[in-house]
Amino acid sequence: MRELEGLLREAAESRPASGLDIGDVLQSGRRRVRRRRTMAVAGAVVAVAVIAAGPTLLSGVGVGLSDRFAPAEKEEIVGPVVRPVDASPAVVGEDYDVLTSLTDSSPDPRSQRLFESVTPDGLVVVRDYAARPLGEGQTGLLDPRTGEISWLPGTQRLGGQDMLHDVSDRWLVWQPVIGGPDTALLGVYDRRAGEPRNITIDDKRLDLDPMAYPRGGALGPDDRVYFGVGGGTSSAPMWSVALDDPRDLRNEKVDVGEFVIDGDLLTYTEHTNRPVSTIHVRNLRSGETSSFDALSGETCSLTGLDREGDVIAMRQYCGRADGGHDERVRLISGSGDPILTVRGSGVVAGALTDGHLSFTVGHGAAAGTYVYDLESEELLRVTHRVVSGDPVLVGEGDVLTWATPGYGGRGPRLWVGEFH
Amino acid sequence: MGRRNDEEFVAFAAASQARMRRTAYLICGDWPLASDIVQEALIRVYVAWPRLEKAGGLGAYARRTVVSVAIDMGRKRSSSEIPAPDDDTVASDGWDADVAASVSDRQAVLAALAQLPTRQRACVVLRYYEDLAVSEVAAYLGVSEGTVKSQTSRALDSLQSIFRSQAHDDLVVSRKGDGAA
Repeated sequence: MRELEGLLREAAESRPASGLDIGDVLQSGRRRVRRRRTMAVAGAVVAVAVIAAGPTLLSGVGVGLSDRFAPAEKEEIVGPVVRPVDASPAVVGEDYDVLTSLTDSSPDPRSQRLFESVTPDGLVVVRDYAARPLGEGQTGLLDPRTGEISWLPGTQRLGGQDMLHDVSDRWLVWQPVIGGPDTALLGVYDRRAGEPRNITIDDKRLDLDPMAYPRGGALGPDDRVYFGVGGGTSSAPMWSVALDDPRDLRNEKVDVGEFVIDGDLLTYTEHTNRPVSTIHVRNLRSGETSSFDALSGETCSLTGLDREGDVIAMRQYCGRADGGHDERVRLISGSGDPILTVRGSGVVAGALTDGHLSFTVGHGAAAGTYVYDLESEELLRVTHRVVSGDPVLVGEGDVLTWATPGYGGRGPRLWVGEFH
Repeated sequence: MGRRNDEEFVAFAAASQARMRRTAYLICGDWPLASDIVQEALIRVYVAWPRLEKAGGLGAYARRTVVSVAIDMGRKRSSSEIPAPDDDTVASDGWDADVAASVSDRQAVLAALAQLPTRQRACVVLRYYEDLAVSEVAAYLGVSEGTVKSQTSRALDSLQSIFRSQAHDDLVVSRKGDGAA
């Protein structure tokens, strides 16, 4: 028998010291300190200048690595790139198991059923219009391991167009998509109390103009909901409100474009729908903030942001390329190191979980649903068809959802799978 | 940062780099890459130095940074780039069977490690080389203790299976509590 601990020690100590040049480390460290101070003052202008200087400067500007990260094309993509054509077919029973699936069997074209999110405790949030007049619906929690749905009482929705923004072990939070000063409110469901609430925000304090409305809604670590207030602009002031006391409304004194909250960390950009390369992170408990350059260049517009642990996903639209659209999901670490870029025409990001990224390709030969395993670095193609209208893929941990089109007037089939 | 602090950093780096490089090597499986990892990790330590001086825990921060950089780099390498174990073959007239077997076992465990996903590899190295507790490993990797236990258990099963398939002895761990063989 051989002892693992001993073998590891022998293996690690079998070579002499590297002779690392500490002087080089010092020089690189000093450059990085200077660069961070400059960025804090000059913002994105510095990042653009760095990118324009070309890949040979990468090792000198704080990435600390050499040609391992040479851009895939020109200077626009820093880090590895994967395309849908690189995927292997996912094999049910080997790569994943189907936990459950649902379909909406109603022939009513107005009826619809969607998966909207997965709670941290593994329940799938189901939104169902099937039994109601258009404009209303009901929300339930599906246990994928039993197939049973628990419908949440009184979850009347506003106008049928609102979006579920965030879920936790206790709360579901959604907001109206279109609103104004008279409908500045949050729709909230308290799972602990088993009851819904509409939280009206004192819009006078928000200083809303007629075109402004709350947008986004992310749950913070302190039972507060953080949201932007804007009217179609690329940047909006951020406010927060306590779910237990709507009078506790706070101006967060920051303007945000895209934002996401994961644990204690608020990760955000200053703008959306335009080229953005600077990512900001604020610890909502300590107030500590930091910023870094995501090295995403100046041609790709940011259209979405997500975060799970130490992985940040940037959704990007980069114009036209190769006869189609250049759409990307760029993954970086919490300190800005490139992990991967998924690139292709029709790529729409789905769920980012602790371990996986799902996305769809909406058209062409590559149409389908894909899952990328962040650990094994394997890209799997789960389906060859998608539901039109950019279906929302959701997930938590190893549990991911996807949809396939229905036949014979039936609605889409919604799947819940567990990936190995 | 003044010259005096630079001198303290240099002393710290000189004293720590060998150990950091060995940890990095076990996670990434490649000595030149391990050197790159340590260089990047020390740069990050340098940048964070003023904060670390006040808060303490230089060594733990440096080790944590090595792991973080190694995992980031591990993700970026192609899954087909499994580094071959270093060639430590001793070819001489005085071939010693025990030495050969020892080198062979070392190569076998490195080859087995290389086949694990990066995070599982990190769990094994932190638990059985760095001798960290489950809670410490969870903090380093930013995951739950349950994830550390399950990842470690799966890693040990895989290591055992691969090690056996190469006609070597069983692989055992002296620490208990991870479902090890």
